[in-house]
Amino acid sequence: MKKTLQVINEMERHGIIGKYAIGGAMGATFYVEPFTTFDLDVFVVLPHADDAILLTLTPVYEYLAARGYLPEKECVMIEGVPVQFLPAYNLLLEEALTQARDILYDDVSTRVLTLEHLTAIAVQTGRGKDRARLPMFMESDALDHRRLDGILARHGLIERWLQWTSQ
Amino acid sequence: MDKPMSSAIDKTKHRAALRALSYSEKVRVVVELQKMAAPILKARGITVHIWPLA
Repeated sequence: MKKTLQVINEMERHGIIGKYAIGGAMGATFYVEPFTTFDLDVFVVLPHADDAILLTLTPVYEYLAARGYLPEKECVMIEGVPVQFLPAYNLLLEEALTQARDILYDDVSTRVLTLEHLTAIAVQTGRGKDRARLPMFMESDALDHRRLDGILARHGLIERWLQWTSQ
Repeated sequence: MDKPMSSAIDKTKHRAALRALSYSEKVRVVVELQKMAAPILKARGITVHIWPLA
């Protein structure tokens, strides 16, 4: 994973991607107990022309393919780790990237989304597996409930949060 | 009655200890979990990649 992160950092330095941060299961694992996952979800700001209508990952895939890192299903295999690049396509994800935490993994600098944003993204995404993670997030001492309330309110997620947590 | 209660406390302590690991240590645990899950998934026809730690 160290080499994988080094490649992603290089992509950021080369301007292929903008700011990035680890999310999904590996983002959550930073705060809670480890659980099984097989891919690394990386949320990215994609640099694009001001008049661009669509977000495209094509430059990302082309850059990686030129270095021998090829797509496999929805991921790209980078140094043995399947990495899924997820563009920040809404305001919640943009905010999450802006406020991501700088961390070190084996002396390699990287970023991870905050637990409050991971929680809000899980609520917004709304899949069964996202919902299943919520109790783990809520048990974590790292979760700042006041901060989470603010994020949920800003992004119109209070109602679903209440539905999910009242059952 | 004591045994299940003690077991629940042990489990809570174990989970708290796992939460307290460093990120590098947690990634090592994830890789161990991948190694355990891979043969089960393979038997179901699902191929997965176990991450190299380096």
